Amino acid sequence: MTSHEPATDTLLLDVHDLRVAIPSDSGDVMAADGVSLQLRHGEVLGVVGETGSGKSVTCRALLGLRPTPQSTVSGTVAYPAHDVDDVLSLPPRRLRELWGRRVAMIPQNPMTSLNPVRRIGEQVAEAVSASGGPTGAAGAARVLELLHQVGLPAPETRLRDYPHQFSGGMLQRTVIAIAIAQKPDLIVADEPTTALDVLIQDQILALLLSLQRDLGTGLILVSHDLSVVSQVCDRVAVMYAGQIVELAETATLLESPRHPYTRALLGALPGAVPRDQELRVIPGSPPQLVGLGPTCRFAPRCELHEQACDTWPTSLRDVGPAHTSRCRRATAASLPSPTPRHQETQS
Amino acid sequence: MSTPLLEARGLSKHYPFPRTAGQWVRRAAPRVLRAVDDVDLTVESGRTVGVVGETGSGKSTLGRLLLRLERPTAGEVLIDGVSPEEAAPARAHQLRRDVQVVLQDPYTSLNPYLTIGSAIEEVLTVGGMTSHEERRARVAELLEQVGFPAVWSERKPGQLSGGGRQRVSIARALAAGPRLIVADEPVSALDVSVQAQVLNLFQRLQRELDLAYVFITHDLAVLERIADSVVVLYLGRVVETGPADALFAGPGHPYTQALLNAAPALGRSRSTSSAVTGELPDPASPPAGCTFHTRCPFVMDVCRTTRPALTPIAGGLHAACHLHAGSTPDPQAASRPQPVTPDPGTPATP
Repeated sequence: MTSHEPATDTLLLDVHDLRVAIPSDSGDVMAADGVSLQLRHGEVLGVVGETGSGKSVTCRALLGLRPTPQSTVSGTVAYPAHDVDDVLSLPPRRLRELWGRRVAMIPQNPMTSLNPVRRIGEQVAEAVSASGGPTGAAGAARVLELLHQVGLPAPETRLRDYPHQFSGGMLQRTVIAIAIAQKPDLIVADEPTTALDVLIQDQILALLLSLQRDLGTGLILVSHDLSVVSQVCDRVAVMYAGQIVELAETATLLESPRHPYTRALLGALPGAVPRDQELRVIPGSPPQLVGLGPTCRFAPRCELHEQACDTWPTSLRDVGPAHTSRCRRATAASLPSPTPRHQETQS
Repeated sequence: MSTPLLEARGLSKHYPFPRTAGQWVRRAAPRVLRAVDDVDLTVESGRTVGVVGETGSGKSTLGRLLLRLERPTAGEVLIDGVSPEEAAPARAHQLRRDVQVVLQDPYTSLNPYLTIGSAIEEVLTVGGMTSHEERRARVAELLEQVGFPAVWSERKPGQLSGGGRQRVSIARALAAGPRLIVADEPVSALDVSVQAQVLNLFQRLQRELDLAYVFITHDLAVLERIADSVVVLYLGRVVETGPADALFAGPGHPYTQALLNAAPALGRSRSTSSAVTGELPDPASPPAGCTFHTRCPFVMDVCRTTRPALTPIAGGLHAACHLHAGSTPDPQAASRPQPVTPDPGTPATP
């Protein structure tokens, strides 16, 4: 292990009741609404959700970033291992100390996350030298080491290139080099492979996972693709309409989902359903994230919906060891199957 | 044997680069990008051919060639054994209507100012349906076929979700009364639950209308679900083709094996090594010999110099790979449940 003490007992990240409100003409859009989660050192957490589920907004808030200057962010995002009680109330100077060294981000589109008019080497050097890191010859050596580490081919010559001379996979490798330059304890990767071809996606996931294991870094992998997340992550959080609806260890989540949304998502995956069966379709569409109450947000589309669901305020409840769900009808033993009446209305 | 619905023979599309000054002086031929190179493809009535490949593999160009949106550099596309270019005008018109398209991005493929009813009606007008009432009735019927109430014909694309728009695109393609739809990444832009809805729709329409599809996608899970046969493209050339069942059970070409290994499978814990190393070579200057040799875990000397031809291997598949050339097909290869993984000694990254 490196200089980081893998203090397995302390939490790396502790998020409590995170809410992100984006003002709009029709009221505040609650992009994240009461998100709580914890991450241990060296753990890999997946965050899955469809478009508009709030997964990106949530992850950016972990770095103290808000979607627009007018947005309000409440709740706490603590990094207990670094004596940071709440990222959201840190002054900008302290935030800059945190970024890179404690928590780094890999944004979704590598094409737009690098400066197009500066050489690759300069941009990595900037990350290396930030917060008093090495400069000059030592800095240059570290840049090369990093580019080797992320598997960039021929880094000695390629570091003089500009971003437009790189392929998507090479750009993503560069962005990863920048993210690990200061040896952060946590990497937040927001859809890091979505823009890439399947073979390159495979390479980038292999790289992320091997770096995560070598460096002992915590990793939060945000993706719309449950297959990707299930391959890489220790635990998975499923988001719907700004909330985590289910959180469990990966195998548990796949084998015995305790939220109807998770179960429906699993049934909709082309690779997971036998060919002679129809794919599951979730009727309707997600709600507008304005003025929603405390009751279940999935209820209008849910195959298990009962009248009682419309008045019951949801919260993440324990339904098993390290397994929580927002569904009123989920129990530790099971999630009920839909009654025939429901199945009819679903088709 | 009956004539296939659509047959492409030796289809090529080469895009020349502008000649450099030096080439101009020497009167040298300009360099060309071989987007599609000598591709054969057969579509039987009511069946689905899946075309899979990475960015730059030429799969979209192939689709455009089948649709006659591009003129091939070489080769021909026959419908019912006839080339529309050579058929009488009325017959040619009908042959063209037999093949329709559904594009990837439902946000840019529909006119935002037209109601979805008039977008579909336009196709009927062009098709020679002169009676307004008849067209209206047909629009209502088409909307119903893709799961919309008829009253939605007055809606604009902006009022629909991505999945809804894609269903309109399908209805519009159906309006021409096609026997074949070329669908270019039709579900790639959609969330998984919506993707399921559109895939189900494709499959239902195939059963009801006996439609054939050429389904172009990068997503193997989608292909495994929908395709009867598969064409795997790499840098413009077919590297493997054959029945989907055999291909997914035991792919013969290392590239197909890599694609299958790299495709994220639900719950299969992944390793820190990747299926192949290296990136797609520049399509404008592809490697000599087998174009996959720069990334292939089984590369041999012959691969660097000689291009392998498509040869029959087990399971009715054809693969362009020297591993199969000159030897009898290895029956083990086809029944192997898991594709061969690269040598574990291979480093995780290049």
